[in-house]
Amino acid sequence: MALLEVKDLSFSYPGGEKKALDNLSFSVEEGELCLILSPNGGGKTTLLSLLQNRGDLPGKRSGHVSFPGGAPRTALLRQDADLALVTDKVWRELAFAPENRGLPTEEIRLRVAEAAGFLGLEPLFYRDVSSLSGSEKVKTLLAAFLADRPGLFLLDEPASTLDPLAKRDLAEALNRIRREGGGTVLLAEQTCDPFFAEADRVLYLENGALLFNGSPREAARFLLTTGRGSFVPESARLAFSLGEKETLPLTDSEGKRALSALPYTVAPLPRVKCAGEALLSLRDLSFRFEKNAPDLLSGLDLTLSRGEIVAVLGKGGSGKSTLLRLLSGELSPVRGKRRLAGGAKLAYLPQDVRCLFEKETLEEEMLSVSSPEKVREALSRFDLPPLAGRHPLDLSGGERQRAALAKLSLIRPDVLLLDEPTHGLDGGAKAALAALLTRWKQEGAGILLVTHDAAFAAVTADRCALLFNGEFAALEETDLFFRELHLFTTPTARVTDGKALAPEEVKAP
Amino acid sequence: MRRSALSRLHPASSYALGGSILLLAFLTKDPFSALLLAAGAIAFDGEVSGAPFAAKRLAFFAALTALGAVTNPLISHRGVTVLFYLGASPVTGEAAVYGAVSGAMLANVILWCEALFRVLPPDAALVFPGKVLPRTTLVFTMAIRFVPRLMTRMRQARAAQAAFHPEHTLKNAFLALQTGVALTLEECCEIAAGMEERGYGAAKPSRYALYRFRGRDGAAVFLTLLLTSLSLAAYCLGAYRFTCYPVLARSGHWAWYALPAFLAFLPAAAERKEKLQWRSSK
Repeated sequence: MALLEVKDLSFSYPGGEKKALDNLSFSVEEGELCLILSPNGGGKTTLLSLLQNRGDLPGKRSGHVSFPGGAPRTALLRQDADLALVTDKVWRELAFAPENRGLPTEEIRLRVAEAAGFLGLEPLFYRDVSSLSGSEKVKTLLAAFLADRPGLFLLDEPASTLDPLAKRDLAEALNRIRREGGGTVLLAEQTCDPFFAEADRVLYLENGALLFNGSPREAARFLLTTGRGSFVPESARLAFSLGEKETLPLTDSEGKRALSALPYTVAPLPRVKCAGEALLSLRDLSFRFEKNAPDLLSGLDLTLSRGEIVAVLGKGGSGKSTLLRLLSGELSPVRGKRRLAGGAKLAYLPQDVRCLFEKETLEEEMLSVSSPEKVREALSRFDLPPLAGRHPLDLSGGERQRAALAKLSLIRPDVLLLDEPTHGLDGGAKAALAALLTRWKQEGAGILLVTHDAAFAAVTADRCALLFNGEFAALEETDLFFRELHLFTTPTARVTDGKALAPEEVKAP
Repeated sequence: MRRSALSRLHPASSYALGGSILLLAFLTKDPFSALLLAAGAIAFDGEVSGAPFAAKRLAFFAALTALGAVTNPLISHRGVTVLFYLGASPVTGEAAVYGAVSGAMLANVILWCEALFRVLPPDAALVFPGKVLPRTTLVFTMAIRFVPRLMTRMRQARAAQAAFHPEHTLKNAFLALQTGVALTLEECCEIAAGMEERGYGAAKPSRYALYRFRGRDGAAVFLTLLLTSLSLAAYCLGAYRFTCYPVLARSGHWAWYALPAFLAFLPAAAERKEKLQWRSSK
């Protein structure tokens, strides 16, 4: 039976020229995992807010959202899990909703125990929420939602800041919730891995319109044949590019099997080497947050040169962002030194890019930094002209990220520190960013980026480092780095057994 | 927080015991009670953190007591037993004892506060207001997160804006403050929306009790209240009266000291009992 039916749903924000949602019709069955894909600003967040029956969403709405079996309790997990956490302790967070519903203490105790046990939250139970990593926060929230026993889980890009292993943990947790917990899950995502193959249904939105609604395999075929390949798993993209049109593989193991039967050659991506003098160097850099805690970063040595891109990878909570906060001057090291070449200009893109905005509109923001011609060029490069009049904080996550990058592009820094620059970006915006970083590099900038996006690092970086236990477990040339790794590598490398790093390297003979 | 027998009790029991001991440490002004309470604190530290740590705490107690004994006679010249003259001023034995007792009292309060702070879960203190004022307690726990969040946002804003406004001026600091406040307030609105979605304000809230009040908690509270009441009664009746001036004098039967001694050594004894039980279970 359909849990949810949407009929002719349209929505426009006040003052918006185009519709945020345009005549959507679809239904979702009980217990389904429905993956909603769309480019930045495609309408994912608006759709989830309307499904949650947010009466306070300002704008013009038409059409119907109905629940044939009665409206279930819904839980909405927004992009920033940190903002959904209300209290200071994990156990208090789990008890929050049942307490607010006025349930008896014994029932709360049972629900909290059940939810924590179901998602394996026991080791975190007494922890401060501020000490949790990104994936632990998402897991805590899912458990907190479970304790409230919702029938419908709405998740708005919950994995955007998670590392690949944490994403797989989340996919597993969502599967358990719908298979064993009886919940229905609507998951809006920018990236498809690892949820694509797990989904029962895929919806694809573009400019607010529903362009596709069907099974993951049909979705992969539709997206690839219509030139939207960045939304499908790399195994499907690779097989499709090698001539497989019918049975597209969706997982790494399926991809491996498919590629073993397809002939292909590998042409490594050309890497432009233009490294010059040292711009930024760290010697024995160490840091810890508390006096008696172990070092989070311990004795790091690194030199970033002019005309070089270095990517730092590692699990969530390994200290990647902290490293950039140290290099930007936000935090001070407990030991060691950071040296910036004399006269070099440093710019820092934090994980929360809202810190960069000070003005009322995006255009004002840009004009406060540079001339109108340069502003126009920067806005066009990131496909931002339609959003120039909007308040920067009203933009969607991906749009905001593009706006921040556009603003940074105006000042031409010598050293650029980027914290998860692909966070929330769709395939097109990622490609534009990769091209821009390569251009800046050729113009003499030194770029240090920390990212979970191994595929992006493989394409853009000259050297890559793996941060583990406070140290660089490896710091190598990119090709060598990824060929040595088996688990923390790119999806293409996993499917091709390390022969290729990016789909662009794989060619039909 | 260190795990101990005291931290495994219900907060009502552990805080009652801790509070009673601190009350006695504040009230009693005689050297014998002070020594008993200090011995209890050091024994407890030894049980929880080991002998070397207890030795450090003993050294601290001795140092503070000695400091009182040395400094007080320099300020106060009361008393009849003149030990020697410093210039024209007499240094009296009574003033030295008075200073030592004052130093020991202060050391006791510090020793017990530190010992309790190390073993009692700080959030357990919210159990009591949480029962009576659940919303106020929630606001308090949220405020605990708000202040560091604002500070972090301000630091992040300054670091991110430094590329555009590199000068360390008041204006740029204010800009970072403005951005930090705006972001934090916006986040508060999102948090509020999330709270509403999770039922905040929908019904009269109930309370999740992380700690269960068991029989042994009841027994601990009963014993604590009994010993504290008896000790206070004895204190009011002058059982622990000790005067320094003009001459050292005490009144009351020695047996009354069993009460503060029992209370002071209860945490250490509970710790030892758990250790013995653990060993016998292996």
